[in-house]
Amino acid sequence: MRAISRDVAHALSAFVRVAKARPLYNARNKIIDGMMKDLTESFDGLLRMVPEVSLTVRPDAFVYEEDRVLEETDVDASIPFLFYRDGVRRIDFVRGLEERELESLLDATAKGFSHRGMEDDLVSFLWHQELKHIRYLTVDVAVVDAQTADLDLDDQIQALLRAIYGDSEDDVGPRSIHLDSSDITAKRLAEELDRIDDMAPGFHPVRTFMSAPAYAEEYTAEIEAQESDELRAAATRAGLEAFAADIDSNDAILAGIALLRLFDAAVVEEDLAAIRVLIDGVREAEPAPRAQSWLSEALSEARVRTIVATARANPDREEQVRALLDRAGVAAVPSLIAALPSLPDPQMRRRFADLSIALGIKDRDHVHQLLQNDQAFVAREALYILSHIGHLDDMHAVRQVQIHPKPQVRLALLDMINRMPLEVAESVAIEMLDDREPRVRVAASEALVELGSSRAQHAIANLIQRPSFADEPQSVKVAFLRAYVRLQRAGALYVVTQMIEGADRRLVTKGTEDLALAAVQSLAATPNQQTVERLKEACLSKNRAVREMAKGFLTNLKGSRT
Amino acid sequence: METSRGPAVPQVSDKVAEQARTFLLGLFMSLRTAQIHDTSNKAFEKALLSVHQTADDLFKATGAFRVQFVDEAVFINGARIRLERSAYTSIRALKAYLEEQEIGGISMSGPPSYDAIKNLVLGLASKDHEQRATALDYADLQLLGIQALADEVGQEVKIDRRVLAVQSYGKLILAMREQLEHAEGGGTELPNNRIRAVRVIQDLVELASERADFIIRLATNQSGTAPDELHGVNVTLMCIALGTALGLPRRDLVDIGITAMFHHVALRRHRYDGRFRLGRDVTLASVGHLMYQSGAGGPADHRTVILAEHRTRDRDLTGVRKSRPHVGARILGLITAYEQLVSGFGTRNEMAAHPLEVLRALVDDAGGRFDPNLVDLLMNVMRAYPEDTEVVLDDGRHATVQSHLGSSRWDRPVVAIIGTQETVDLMRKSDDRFVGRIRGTPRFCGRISRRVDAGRPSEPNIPSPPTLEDSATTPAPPTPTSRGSVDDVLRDFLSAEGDE
Repeated sequence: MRAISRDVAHALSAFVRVAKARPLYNARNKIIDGMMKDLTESFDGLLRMVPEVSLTVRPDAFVYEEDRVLEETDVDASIPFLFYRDGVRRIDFVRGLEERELESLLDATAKGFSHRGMEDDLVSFLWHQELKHIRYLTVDVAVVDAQTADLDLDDQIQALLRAIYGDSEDDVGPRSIHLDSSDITAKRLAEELDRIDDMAPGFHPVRTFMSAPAYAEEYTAEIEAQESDELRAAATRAGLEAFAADIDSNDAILAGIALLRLFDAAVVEEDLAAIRVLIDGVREAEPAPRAQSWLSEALSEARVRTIVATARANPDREEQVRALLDRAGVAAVPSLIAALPSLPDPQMRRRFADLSIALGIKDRDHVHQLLQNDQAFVAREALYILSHIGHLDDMHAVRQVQIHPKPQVRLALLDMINRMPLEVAESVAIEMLDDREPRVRVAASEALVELGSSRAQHAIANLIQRPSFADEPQSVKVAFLRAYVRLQRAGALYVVTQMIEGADRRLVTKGTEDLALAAVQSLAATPNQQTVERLKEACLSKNRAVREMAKGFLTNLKGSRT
Repeated sequence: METSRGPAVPQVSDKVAEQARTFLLGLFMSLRTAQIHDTSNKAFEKALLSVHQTADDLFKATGAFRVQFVDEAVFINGARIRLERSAYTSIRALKAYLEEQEIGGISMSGPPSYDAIKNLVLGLASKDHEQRATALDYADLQLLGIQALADEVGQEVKIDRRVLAVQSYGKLILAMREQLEHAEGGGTELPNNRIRAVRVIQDLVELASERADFIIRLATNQSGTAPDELHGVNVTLMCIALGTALGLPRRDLVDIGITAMFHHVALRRHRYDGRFRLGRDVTLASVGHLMYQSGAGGPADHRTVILAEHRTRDRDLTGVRKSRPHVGARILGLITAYEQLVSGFGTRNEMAAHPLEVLRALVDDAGGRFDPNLVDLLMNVMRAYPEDTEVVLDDGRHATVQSHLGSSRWDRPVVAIIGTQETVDLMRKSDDRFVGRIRGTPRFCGRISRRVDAGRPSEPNIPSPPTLEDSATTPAPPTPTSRGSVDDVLRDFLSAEGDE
């Protein structure tokens, strides 16, 4: 490849880089700025060397003279293919090329990739631009397409024109229509345009608009004065009217899809007022199922997450966002719940959780999904919601929390034990006495004390009599014995006293001594006449550690009384 | 008569085109045979005889021929030939083969001998450049370089506006048909549009600024395809023409054009008593289709508003101006009504009224449905001035259109000069030149009316259509021959209730 071709290839690769990066970044992104600078410098340098760069467009490549300077074979992402598909056969860059013009070409490329229906494609977009230093040659894509299409479009056009104007008399017969003027029949037909009397007797319309009517300025001024916001609002009203109209449901659905695009545009632009208008409009639309279906779609997780992100990024707008979602109603709840993990501020998160509770949670599955979230704060928020909607009776959900990997979540479950029905609460607390995390086992024992039921009493009593109880960490032993004393009261004293006395023996093991100390602590935690008596007895223990601990507690108790 | 602004376009007969195709196919087959068989093989000889015969036929028919590949096209002596599907693949393969050897075509300036053709085939089949050069060393045979359409880009592109107008009109009808059929199908998927209507409309916008008369004349066509298709395309053309006359920006003209195309797109499922009726329900259903296909953004908003408001009255029944519909909507509303009335499409009895009568009725309409300036503009754009219309002549005098009887052109009626007893027949010529012409209406020209009874009557004053007896007295009357009571049609249509 020659040196100049390499420079062309470099400039085009810079163009491709920007074209493919722009959809991914904000237009003002520094990365894009850097890429644009490289692009303009590449073309500036190139056009300093040659006055003009003319590229031939092939389906898989841009060709400069004989060199394929940009090759892209993947038709879904190929810029040469896009240009070729849209009918561009040649493109020229001329010295004096401005950054603005390159941006127009980049915009046109983006349009081409996203072109649908009656939107601009690459060429129709370029038609609107004033490009002095970019020239392009196009062919009629309908005719090009027709060469391989099943139905011959040319023939359809010809048949139509013959039906309108009659058959041509030339001996060549009907031929294709091309903008290269090679067609004879079309020319003949066109000449019919000059036969005024045959077309419409007396009809002699103005040939060109040489002078504007006196009132023309009034109209152009009216067009110029149009505010895009007003147009958008009016278009939205029209779409809403069509959506709610008593017309074929498919036609109304099309309006709904279009409204959804307006909704998306408003979401991206963080235009909360426009979102509100659409939500309000659709809510009032009949038939209700159509409206509900639209709202469900519009209030998808991704969209609501983006709306909620507005509040996260601008806390001043939080109230507006909440008011908007409040207006959206129960349809927003599933997505709102799903968006909670995206809110790092616990207070804001709690306010949105409260909003979802206020709106009404019909399907607990959305909350249950949060229960499985690896982030403890998310699962805790879910527990909070479940507890406030009175649904901590769901053993399936509760068991999910019981096996949650994060102890904070399991602890949170125990925090909410009072919001569960007694039977569920008892089961939860009893099962969590065996939790792998000592903190949780401690909390479970405390929860059982809170419950104070006979089942709780039996559970604790059984637990401390297990052989494995001796192997528990000291904090757990203390907690369990404390719970045992509190629940069993006088009935526990015998067992506890036995444990303290166990330390009196000679050559006492560390385990036995720890158990005795835990028993002393459990007594001290439940001060009453009987436990104090037992503490006094412990002051006489042969075990020094037990004796001193008991004395210490008694001293503290006296101090607190005085 | 308008002539092409481009160079003369080479033309060949069907016969020559067919011979060229046969020659190329024969050449392709003989090249393949040469690659498979030895030159002494009968199959090769047979293929050579065939290609020689076709080359000879082509030479006899043309005197000398030059076959050139240019991108996907094939030209014989500069005229493009169409490739049928059956020939397309083979000739494309031939083109690819030749291009590999940097050959873009073949020129034959003398009678092709058998040996010349044999050497041509052997030379092309050979990969050895020297061997090829020797084999092709015939004075009358020349191999041409590769050309692309792009090679001609430096030249000014010449397009015959009339051809473009007719082609665009045809394509617009097909685009209209695609949309109507898609809407009729009731699907909620995007249609696979084979015609890029946006580009067709852009072409029409370009044309309207250069040759508005082509656009306006095409818009009078009332045959050749289904009435709803004709209505759609004719309304589109007239909207573009009117918007262009107002000097609206090109982007707005495209949006108005697209909206016009879609204004009734959903009507095929809205038949009442076996006929179409363009009511609010059709508009709203069409709004769905237009919005859906226009995406999100400025143009989509623009189009939606135009469509939604086009049946909204500009003034209420007492003449008080309301919140004005969009400019594009006022244009579309007026043109839709005009086209319906002149074609009878969707009107009671489907009776077509004469354009002059319709214009008169639109001027007189007191229903507040139409923007008076735009009605005035329509008259001036069409240069069709109904009787009793005040006009400004090119000499500056004001006149009233007195009669179209005896005139063959609607822009050249008999007029009565205001303030005098003088009448002027604008068809009259002196020294082979017309004695005068209408410059426009006072409103159009920015003049104050000089009529004593300036201001139209508030009640519709629909003129009686000229009678056959009247027209029989003149040689070539342009006046309409109405069927039935046109007055009733106009009254019925314009007084249609419902302030939308």
